[in-house]
Amino acid sequence: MKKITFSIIAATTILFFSCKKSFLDEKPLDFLSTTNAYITVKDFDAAVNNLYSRVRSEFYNSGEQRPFDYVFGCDLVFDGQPATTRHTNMVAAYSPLSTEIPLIHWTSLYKIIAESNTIIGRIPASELAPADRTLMEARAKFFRGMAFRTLAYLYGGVPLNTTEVVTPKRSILITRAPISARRKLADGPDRNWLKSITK
Amino acid sequence: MKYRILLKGIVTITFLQVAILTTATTANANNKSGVTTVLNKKLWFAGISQADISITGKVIDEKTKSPIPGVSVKVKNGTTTAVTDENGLYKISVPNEQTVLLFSYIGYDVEEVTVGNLKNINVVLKSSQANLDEVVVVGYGTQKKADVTGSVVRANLDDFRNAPTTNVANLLQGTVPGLNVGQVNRAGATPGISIRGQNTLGGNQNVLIILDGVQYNGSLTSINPDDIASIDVLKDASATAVYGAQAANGVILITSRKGAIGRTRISFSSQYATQKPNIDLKPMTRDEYLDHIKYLYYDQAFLAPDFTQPNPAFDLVSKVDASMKDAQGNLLPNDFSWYDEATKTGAIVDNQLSVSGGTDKINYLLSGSLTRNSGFIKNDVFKRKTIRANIETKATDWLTIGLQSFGTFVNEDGVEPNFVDINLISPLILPWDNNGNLKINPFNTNVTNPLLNYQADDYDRHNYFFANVYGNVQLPVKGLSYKISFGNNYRLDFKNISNMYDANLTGQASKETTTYYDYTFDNLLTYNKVIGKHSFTGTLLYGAIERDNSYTRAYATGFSRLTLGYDNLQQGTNRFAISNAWKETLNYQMFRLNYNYESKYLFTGTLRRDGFSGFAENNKYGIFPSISAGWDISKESFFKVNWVDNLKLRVGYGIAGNQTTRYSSLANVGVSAAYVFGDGGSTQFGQQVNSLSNPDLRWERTTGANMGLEFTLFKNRLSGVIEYYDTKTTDLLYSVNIPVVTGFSNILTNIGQLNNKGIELSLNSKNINSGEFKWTSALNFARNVNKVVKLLGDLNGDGVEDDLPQSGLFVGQPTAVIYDYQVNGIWQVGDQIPTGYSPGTYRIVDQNGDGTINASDRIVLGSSAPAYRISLLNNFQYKNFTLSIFLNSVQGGDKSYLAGNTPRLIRDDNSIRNNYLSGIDFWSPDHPDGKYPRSIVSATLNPPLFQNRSFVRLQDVSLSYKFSGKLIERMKLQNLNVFVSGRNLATWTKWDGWDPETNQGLTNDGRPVFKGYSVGLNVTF
Repeated sequence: MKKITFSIIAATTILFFSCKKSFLDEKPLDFLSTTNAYITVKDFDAAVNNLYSRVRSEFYNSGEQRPFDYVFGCDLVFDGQPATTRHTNMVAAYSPLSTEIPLIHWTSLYKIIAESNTIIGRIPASELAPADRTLMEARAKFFRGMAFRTLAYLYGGVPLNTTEVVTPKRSILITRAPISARRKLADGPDRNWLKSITK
Repeated sequence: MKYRILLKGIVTITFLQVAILTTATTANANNKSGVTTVLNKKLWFAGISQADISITGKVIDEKTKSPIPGVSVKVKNGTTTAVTDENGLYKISVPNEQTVLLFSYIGYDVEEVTVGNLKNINVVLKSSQANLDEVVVVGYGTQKKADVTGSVVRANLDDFRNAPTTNVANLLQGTVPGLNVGQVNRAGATPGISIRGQNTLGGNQNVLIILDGVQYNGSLTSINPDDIASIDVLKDASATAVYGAQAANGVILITSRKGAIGRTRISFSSQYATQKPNIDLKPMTRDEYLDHIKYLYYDQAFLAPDFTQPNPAFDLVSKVDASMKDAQGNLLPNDFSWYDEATKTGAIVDNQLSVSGGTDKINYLLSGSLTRNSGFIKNDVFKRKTIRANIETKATDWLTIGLQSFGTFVNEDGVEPNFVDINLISPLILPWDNNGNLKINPFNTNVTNPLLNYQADDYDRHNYFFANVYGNVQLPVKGLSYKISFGNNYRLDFKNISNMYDANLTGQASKETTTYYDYTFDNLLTYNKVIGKHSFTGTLLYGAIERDNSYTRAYATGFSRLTLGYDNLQQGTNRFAISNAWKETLNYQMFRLNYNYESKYLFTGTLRRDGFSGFAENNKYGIFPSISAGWDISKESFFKVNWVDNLKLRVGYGIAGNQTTRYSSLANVGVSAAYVFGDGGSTQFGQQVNSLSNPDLRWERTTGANMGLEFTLFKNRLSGVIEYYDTKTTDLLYSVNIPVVTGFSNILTNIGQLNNKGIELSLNSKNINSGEFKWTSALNFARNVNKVVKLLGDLNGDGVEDDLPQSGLFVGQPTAVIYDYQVNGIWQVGDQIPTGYSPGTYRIVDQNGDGTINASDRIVLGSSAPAYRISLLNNFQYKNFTLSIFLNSVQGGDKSYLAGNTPRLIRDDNSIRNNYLSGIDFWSPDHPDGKYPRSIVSATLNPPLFQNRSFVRLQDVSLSYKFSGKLIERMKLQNLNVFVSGRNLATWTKWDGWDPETNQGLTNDGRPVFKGYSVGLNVTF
């Protein structure tokens, strides 16, 4: 009798036990995701602050060597402590295979562009008021233009990337944009935006 | 004590007949039951003497029931012997009724029978292939080894229990073919473990560890090795598929001890071991150090044009760094060994105590241990306390409930000196200034004195709590049982540290706490049915797991006084707090069917469905099936090869998965302090997208086929297993490099296909088994071949699968492929050297002969994975002595098991000042055969020199002596043995550097592996 009672209790417990559908939902506890980080003014302010920070890093404080590339990266340079991170020997230091000088600036500047694209791309779906939309778009476009200008200054023709990358694209064919297209990005509608809000 | 003897006396005298019958039919050869020995002792003292008794009888084989000729019948502790004839009959004279007769024959367990008042004693000898009736733990249950159809191996722990190690994983090193355990060089460290080959690129590489049925992802240092009864390794997909999405890398099942029915066992063991480096590698001393500076200036220290004649005008002192000269500009006279100052002989002290016992209603095991390992590097200390309680009771005849619980408290207080810096500092510099205080920056650079770490106040604790409560219910339906188990893990980690010299000498103190909790809730329904010769077992599982982790760190810098340290962070001027947390959940179901016909034809099929919160939105559940079959050929009536005792063939096929890590399918937006606007502004925070999302991310799928042949030959003289496996892993998780133009350098996605094929062999032989001397050997061999088959497809349209050179992945090559420049010696003074290179730099082979050395001159040089692993264990027993010797080897041939090991110097500010390891074979003009490059300027390309890591190591030697006879009986002990053992006693290798197995070459940031000698004793009351 005891056995049967116990088994009935056990059986009913088992039948009623099963995990909720939402048991496996994943919500990160300690980091933001793109779905919830580009909604309010404060979110976009944070994104723009990061652009300022990235620019400061690229030109001034990423370390004791890379910001000085804008000063030392020329034909006549002698470094008393020879190393490829310090322009010696030049063939090695500026080789496209190098993971130092050429790659670090390229990565840093394209990150500024990518973040700008993300801001511009996510404005339509956000809860920003119309005036804030204009402001955020202008700021992002300013930084994007500045980054492209710097890239052209350092590398010549570079690919133009003007949309946010959302899906993984592993094989992007890279083409260098002609000067006219780049000029258009720097001089065209973006410049007028700037003029209109800095009056 | 007296009470026990009295009780035993009553029991033995009253139940004499029962006792004799029990001992006569005891199947187990390990016949040291207390009743029998005490019986003998008591009645001998009574001193009864009678006329010789003549005993006859027949000896038969338990399995075949046929008589065994040639069986040796001996009077125990006497000299009379007899031998059975061709009918298995024997006749022997014994002095009295208390005599014990021993029946022994090669390949069978020894039987002991007390004569008593019987004149005709028939004995059944059991074949000592006890390993076939042995039970192994498979996922969610146990199975007789004879019925297993997948690749399951029980590790041999006994021969390694006396080794001077503190970690469970060390007991497994080299003992199971296909189970690869690495080497450790730190006190209390856990080595890396992998099973078979690498079948992931960027995914989780950890083996799944199950402790008493509960998933265990804590550190293995928390498990007391002495508490472990057995470790079973599941190697192939058909065996691991029951664990579904976490099983692709193999599964290790650890089972803790439980009390045995019968006499209570109180067990105590103690061990002391010393540890020293197994290689004599140290930094340079004064003379060699000064020489190395001279050679960096070889163009001035020697005369042109060949730079082999010393230049008398060269002033070495002028080139030495100012920190090593006194005020007058003379070299300081010191030759100080920082290495000796920071190291000592390591030691391990380990004490274990356990009490266990039981009746048929309840069994229990209580144990505790204290372990202390002070490492070779000062302040590398590991202390561990463990306690365990395993209790199981048969509450009613249909309900068994039990508890397995343990607590482990690890203490790793103390900050060791930074070993890299110890090797780096010049012997001309003393750690102390003239007042006896430690110099803060001995080099007058930002390198701080490594000995400063001694005064850091460090509280580094890890506490592990485990409890598994389970209940086994026999349901009213015959053969149906239900098991419910609820296992919990709780961990608390504390790291509190205060150090006056941190934060740029302004002082820093911090407190870090990590709490982790998980539960595993399993419901298992098992149904056994036997119909005639067919037996079926069905298993149904429904379970869930939840894991929570939380981390907090508070720290402060800028302390004027650190008297109170980390317990009063408010005294710091700058205060910081950070925290984070994560959570994971799993939900799974599994169904398994086992079928066996007379244990001759075996079949197992399983199906598992796994859901995991970390799986991407579109792929929340995975299905993992498997199927396997076995055929015991030797049980067939047509099989009449009489030198084959047992032959079993098994095949298995299954699919297992490797989970994505939590949150990996989500885009991650990182927030950090970004900018200050204007003077006096406050910190503004910024956010940045750090990773892209991928809602289609899937788990990795490993599909594997395994074929194994188990055999026992020559009356159990030779037994073994040979296995062949072929696995294919698809949907590999990999961070594929994408052009940086996108703003991201990589994206986690599923790509390609990776194959692993291999062969494993395990052989056990009983070489000599004559009376008092026994010699057995065990050989293990494993070879794995790994190959990348597919990656991203054919994107460049050339009809062939594309490689990913910048990620180091090539189709047709192993994941561990080495694709680099080929070095062909060193450019000498006077050679025709191309631009970008100079004397003392490596000469790179121009593979494509185009006259320039560039990226197109890289080729596949070999692989960093081993070619094969082999180990040999020899076990000798002579009377009460047991000696076991274990050799372990990992070999690479010419092209495998390679690693870059390239000390390289150019003349720059740091290389003139720093110290390096002694005896490095650097090039110089007067030593043109030097192996390693040393030049004045850097070359355009500086490729590594790949060297072979193959080695053979005398990994374990253990000699033990087991006391027996009067001493044991007088002290009322069940067992007493003492032992000496050694670990890593000798290593034979061509590798230059710290150790081939840890892959550390001639670098300053390596640490030695330890050679250890230990002595200890085990006693059981």
